[in-house]
Amino acid sequence: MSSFFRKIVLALLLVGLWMILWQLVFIATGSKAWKFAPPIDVLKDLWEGLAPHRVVSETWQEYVLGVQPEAYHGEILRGLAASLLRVVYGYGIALVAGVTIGLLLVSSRFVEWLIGPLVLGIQSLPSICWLPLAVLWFGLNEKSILFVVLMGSLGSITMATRDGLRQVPLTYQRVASTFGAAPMQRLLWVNIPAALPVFISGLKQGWSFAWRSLLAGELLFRSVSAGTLLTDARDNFDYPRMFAVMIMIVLVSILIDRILFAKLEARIHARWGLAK
Amino acid sequence: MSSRTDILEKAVHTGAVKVAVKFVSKQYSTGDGAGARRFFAVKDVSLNVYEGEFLCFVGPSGCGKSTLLNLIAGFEKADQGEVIFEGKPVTGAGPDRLVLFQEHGLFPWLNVQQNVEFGLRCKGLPKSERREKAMHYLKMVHLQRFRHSYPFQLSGGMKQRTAIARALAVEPSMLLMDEPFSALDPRTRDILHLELQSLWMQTKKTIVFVTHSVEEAVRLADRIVIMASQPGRIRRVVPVSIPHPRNFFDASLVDLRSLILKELEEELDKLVKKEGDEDWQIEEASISARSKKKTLDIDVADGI
Repeated sequence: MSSFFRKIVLALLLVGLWMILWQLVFIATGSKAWKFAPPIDVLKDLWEGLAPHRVVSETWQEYVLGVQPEAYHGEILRGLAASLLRVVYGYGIALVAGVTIGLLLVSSRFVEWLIGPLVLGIQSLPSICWLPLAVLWFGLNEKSILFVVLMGSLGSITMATRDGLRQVPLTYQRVASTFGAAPMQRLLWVNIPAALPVFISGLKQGWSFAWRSLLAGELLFRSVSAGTLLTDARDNFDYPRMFAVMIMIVLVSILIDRILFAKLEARIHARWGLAK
Repeated sequence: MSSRTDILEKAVHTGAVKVAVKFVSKQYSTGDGAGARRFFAVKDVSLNVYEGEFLCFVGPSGCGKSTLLNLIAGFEKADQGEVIFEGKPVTGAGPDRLVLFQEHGLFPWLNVQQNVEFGLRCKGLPKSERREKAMHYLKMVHLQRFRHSYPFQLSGGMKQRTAIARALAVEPSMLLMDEPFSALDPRTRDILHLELQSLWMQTKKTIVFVTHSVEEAVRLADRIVIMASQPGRIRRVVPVSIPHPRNFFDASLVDLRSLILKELEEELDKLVKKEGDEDWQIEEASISARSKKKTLDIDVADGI
């Protein structure tokens, strides 16, 4: 536990050091708060933006979707929560669709020939390129954001499913054969678990693409979202808010990517004997 | 040497024919494009494996010993000839000819007991019966204490013993072992040799064992099949009538070992010379191919 404590202290020290550097940059650029926010303003904004707002909501969904527009405090928290809910929907759809398409690609050579290159293309296309099409198809609303999130992460999840299942080591396949495993037993007991390490890495990559796509999509139109917080801050020349929101976006990203997915990945790699 | 060969000649087969390999050939190709060439991994090999015997394939790498095992296992199909197992042609792999691999092939996501139960689960045995059998065979390989451990927590020898228990649990009539101990340290290998001999004497299973180690073959086998390469074929079959379990330092084992090593040495000499020739030929061919801008058909493996 003491090493954990040490880590916390070191992290705080590092953040403190960054703040000092930041303040120095602020002074060096002429202390113009209307052009470059000093750390103290950003901290103040974070404090307000993350504090629970004063209006009492009925349910947490109402809270997340922000039915009380007059609420000022806690805006950042609300925006981030709404964004997270949105990305969970989009990523969830991508997960179901990606795994399904991946399974189809592995199970049929014809399907692979037909849409294999297309999946690669989708994965290579920056998700922001889907925005114009999404707006034409769905209009300026939630659906077009979800569509962009879906297209952003679909490729990674599909490829991970396909590659994981395709790279099942020959020895495992032969073990399954020599024990006379039936096709379904082979899929469920050998191929799927053997594919997990590759699959989890793909899920992680898909998640980070989903989060990026989401924020690009949210810049499109006004909603309760992290993206709108940024555009509003721009419109109001609210530099502290802009910095605060960006910091929170990074933190959420790190929290999920580095902690949730990386932990899961590390555990699977250790169990599967792939750890360094 | 002559007294040794006397002993060898006396060995007789009492059991029925378990596996009959009949005029089997298998070709592979290496490289692609103009440099591609096909070679015989095994060519016209015929061999009987008898009920209850311990047979070893020994030979340098590339002599087709693993290919032969894969053909018997049913992982691969022969280009010519056929493999008959218990009177029926082999068409695929199955738990009656259970294979043990060099890389043990334990599933890392299952613990020791679940790994041992894998084959039984494939057969659809109920849970209680699976557990009972798994425990029986785990006891046999002295691993019951480690039944909840995962493969990454085990040593190399323990992994291979788990794999042996997993194989025995489905009660196959025959075991095919593809260099199962070659990745282990000498001490562990020595222990496993002893354990395997006692398992074999207890269960009387037919075992086909592939190895490149002459010591290993001499220690374990009833009959040693010495293989030659390019094309892969049987050079000589040597019966061994020294009783099990065998000690490493047995004088007759040492004699037998040097006899086989001599055979193999000739084979290796031939191989080295031939490889030198081949490299030269390929170089020549690629030079002339470049100058003539025409693809050449090189058939080095088959020509000699």
